[in-house]
Amino acid sequence: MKTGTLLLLILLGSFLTAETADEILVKMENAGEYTTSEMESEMKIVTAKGDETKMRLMSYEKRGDEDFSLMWFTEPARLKGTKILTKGDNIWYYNVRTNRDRLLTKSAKKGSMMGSSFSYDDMDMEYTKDFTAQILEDKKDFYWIKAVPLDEDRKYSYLKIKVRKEDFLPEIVEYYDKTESKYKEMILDEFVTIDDHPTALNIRMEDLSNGKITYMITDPETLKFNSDLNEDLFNEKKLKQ
Amino acid sequence: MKFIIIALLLIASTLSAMDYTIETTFGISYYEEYDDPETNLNGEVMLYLLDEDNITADAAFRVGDDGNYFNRARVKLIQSWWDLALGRQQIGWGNGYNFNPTDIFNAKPLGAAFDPAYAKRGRDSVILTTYWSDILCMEVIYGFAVSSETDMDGINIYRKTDWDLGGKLKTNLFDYDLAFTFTYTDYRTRSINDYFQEVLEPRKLAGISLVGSLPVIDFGVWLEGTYDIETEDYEFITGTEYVFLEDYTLNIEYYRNSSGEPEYENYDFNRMFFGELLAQDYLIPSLRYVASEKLEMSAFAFQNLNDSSSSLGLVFDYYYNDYVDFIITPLYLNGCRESEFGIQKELIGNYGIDLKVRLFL
Repeated sequence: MKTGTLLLLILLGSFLTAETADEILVKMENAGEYTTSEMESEMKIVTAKGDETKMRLMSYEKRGDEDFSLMWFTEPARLKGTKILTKGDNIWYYNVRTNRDRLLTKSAKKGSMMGSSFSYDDMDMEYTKDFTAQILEDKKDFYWIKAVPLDEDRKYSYLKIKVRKEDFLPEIVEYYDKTESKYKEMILDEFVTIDDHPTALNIRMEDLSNGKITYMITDPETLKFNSDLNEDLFNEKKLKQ
Repeated sequence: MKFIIIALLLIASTLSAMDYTIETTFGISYYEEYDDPETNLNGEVMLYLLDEDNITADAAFRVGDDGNYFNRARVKLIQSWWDLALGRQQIGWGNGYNFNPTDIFNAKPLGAAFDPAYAKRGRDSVILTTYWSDILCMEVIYGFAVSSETDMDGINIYRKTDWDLGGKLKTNLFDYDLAFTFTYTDYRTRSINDYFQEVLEPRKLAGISLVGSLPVIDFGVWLEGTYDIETEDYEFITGTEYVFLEDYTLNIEYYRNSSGEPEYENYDFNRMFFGELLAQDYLIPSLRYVASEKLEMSAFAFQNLNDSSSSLGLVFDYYYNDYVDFIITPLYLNGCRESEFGIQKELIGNYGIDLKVRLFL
């Protein structure tokens, strides 16, 4: 076979197997292909001066036509018993001191979660539903993609995401504002596979405007995928328990 | 005293074996007309006695200047489609931030919405909740007789409610939480020293509570109100809220009570002793700012729209560390002498400050 023909075939083959940006988003969304997850995590907030604040929480997630999540704070004492339930775009906040749960305004999703560098939006990204994307770089082990939110009210104008080809998990997420300046950066590391599901145990979010860094560190001993989580967990009944 | 000792011994003997938290709050208040600052010290031990899938039990005992009592002592039985809570417990109905007209069982006082240290007083009650689907539930509450007696510088204020019964049907429609309530309150007795005594007739209230967000602009909106079937009086609160720039929350509530008095010349000042508002219409704007994970600040105003008096305040909530936080609340009262906040100004002064230190274990 002539060299030129061989090269053409290789080129054609790579063209046929390369993912499109939309396909990458689908694979990111389905990364790990789990329907439920539960874990215990520590959220550590470190200011530019080095002051630290720590919280511990249990997190439960159920994926489906609508994604559900429940965060249940266990430490420190002043937050113990506080719960945040998210179902789609809705957030309910449970205050243990008044035994009352309340549906928050949808604009609260843009707000900071417990004073951290994460917003509630950051914790609940649906790649295929919330973004359009284009491929910026296609390297051997990763892609860089640019993801533009469909909701123009988001604080960020677009995201640049480094996506691992082996499992389509994001490794770096850069947030760019309306002036195209990078103002937040999320780095995921300590990738492990648990119950055949790849995931990152550590997430680091840095707010570049004030130097605050928030770490979400998951305890691998508590991490479970596809466990039998009842949907009852994600309603008012569990909030007040 | 014996009861306190027994309770402390019980607590001490079990602390090592169960989950607990201890919260101590030390407060200092100083207002312009005070001779000296007033101090207040209270502690609460919260015990998480049982935490199983089908049964939970917890208790909270308070000691200190506000009295020595169980603020919570509750057992909750949990099944797939119902749960039953018995004992002394906090009850939280309604969606308003500053007032909850539908919550007749343990209403919160004015200003509690801006006090991070506020915890509802427990009510002896039985609460049965049934879950018909993931968006439909019904709750029935029986509140046992409750009374309270407080002394304010020689003024003895006594209140008693014989019993309450309430039902609530709650659902979620088009992303709005919607609840219909019906409550019955039996006779209520209240007195101020020997010069004022009143027995209030039983009350039947039909209520509604709605909360959600406006489409596209995502402003939170809510309405909560009640209608007295016998007297035709009504009470409602409505509001809107928006989170912007991630850290700011703007909130405005309007409250109306038809049984209030629109003309300040006709105010019934006895109502103030029972924690009731005097007028009909109030506007309560507030702005909250999360400066950092350690500091939250709020500015608020209670504006009496009938007599133009107001109470303006700031709240600084600083988390020094996991065990200590500081809450500082300066307050400014404004209004003519006969107005609602003007009268309070005459008693305590134009301005003042509250400082609270909370310790957690």
